[in-house]
Amino acid sequence: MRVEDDRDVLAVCRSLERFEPSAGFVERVLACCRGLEERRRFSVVGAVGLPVAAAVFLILLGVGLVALPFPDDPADPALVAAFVEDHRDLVESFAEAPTVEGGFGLFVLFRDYARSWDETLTPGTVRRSYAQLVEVLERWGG
Amino acid sequence: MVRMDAREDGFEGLVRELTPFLFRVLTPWAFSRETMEDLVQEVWMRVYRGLPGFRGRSDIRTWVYRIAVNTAARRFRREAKEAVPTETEWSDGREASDPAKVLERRLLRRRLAAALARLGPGEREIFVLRAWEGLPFAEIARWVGSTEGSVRVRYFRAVRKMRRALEGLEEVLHAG
Repeated sequence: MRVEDDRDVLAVCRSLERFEPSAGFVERVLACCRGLEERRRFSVVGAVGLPVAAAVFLILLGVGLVALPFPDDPADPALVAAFVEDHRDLVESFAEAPTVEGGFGLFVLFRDYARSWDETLTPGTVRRSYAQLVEVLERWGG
Repeated sequence: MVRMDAREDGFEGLVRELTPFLFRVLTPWAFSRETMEDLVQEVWMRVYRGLPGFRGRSDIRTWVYRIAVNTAARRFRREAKEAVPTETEWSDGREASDPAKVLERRLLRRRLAAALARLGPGEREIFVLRAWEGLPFAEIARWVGSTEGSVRVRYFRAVRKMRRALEGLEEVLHAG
């Protein structure tokens, strides 16, 4: 199998065997997600809630970041979801016991994560996405 | 092919509609049906967890697609570090009687996944939609929220990078 020009690249890609989902796969996925919802309902984070002072801090931090320049850049929900997923333990522990230092550390970590996740993201999108993460934390806190 | 204007039927409808699409576009990252199902399930779990943060500023199918490709690429990087083939990677029923063939396909997928990992995320999304889903540039532009001209530029840049990364593929497969 030679790759000598651009058409060969596509030929190589399309030579790969494709797979089909097995019977009942979609139902299994849906069952997993329902199980996830049940676990979330009884999670510690949801039960403990976020202290009011910390919530205010998070709101101010989020609002402050959004108020910076780049007003037209939208948030990227996929980035937020990926960050929460990859740093779930950290995010959950922060939501349980937020601190100013922790908030700053979280933003630095999020900013660095966003850069490696997609280097084409604008600073405005990163900031608005962080604000969206703050909103998610608030919801977790009830 | 998934239509951008497809009717919204909630999460279950989304899973039913997009699962076949995910199986197609995630082709280079799975060695068997089992590993593909594992990967697609992980994507749907991430989507489900991320849904509360989805604001609807982009098409939800585009959002799911981005999560899928990023999940696959991240998983590949993680597995490449571990470099431990799982039992299911060798359990492709149709080819189990020909170990050399299985190994060749495995090497080819690994090489492709490594080449895709070297693309920028924007290039990767476009290249995958073109290579495995066969979408026209205008449709890809709608998917990624860009102009057709920009998509073309990024696509051809990605193809050049892929070609360079795949040079010597024949020798690699034969050595394997």
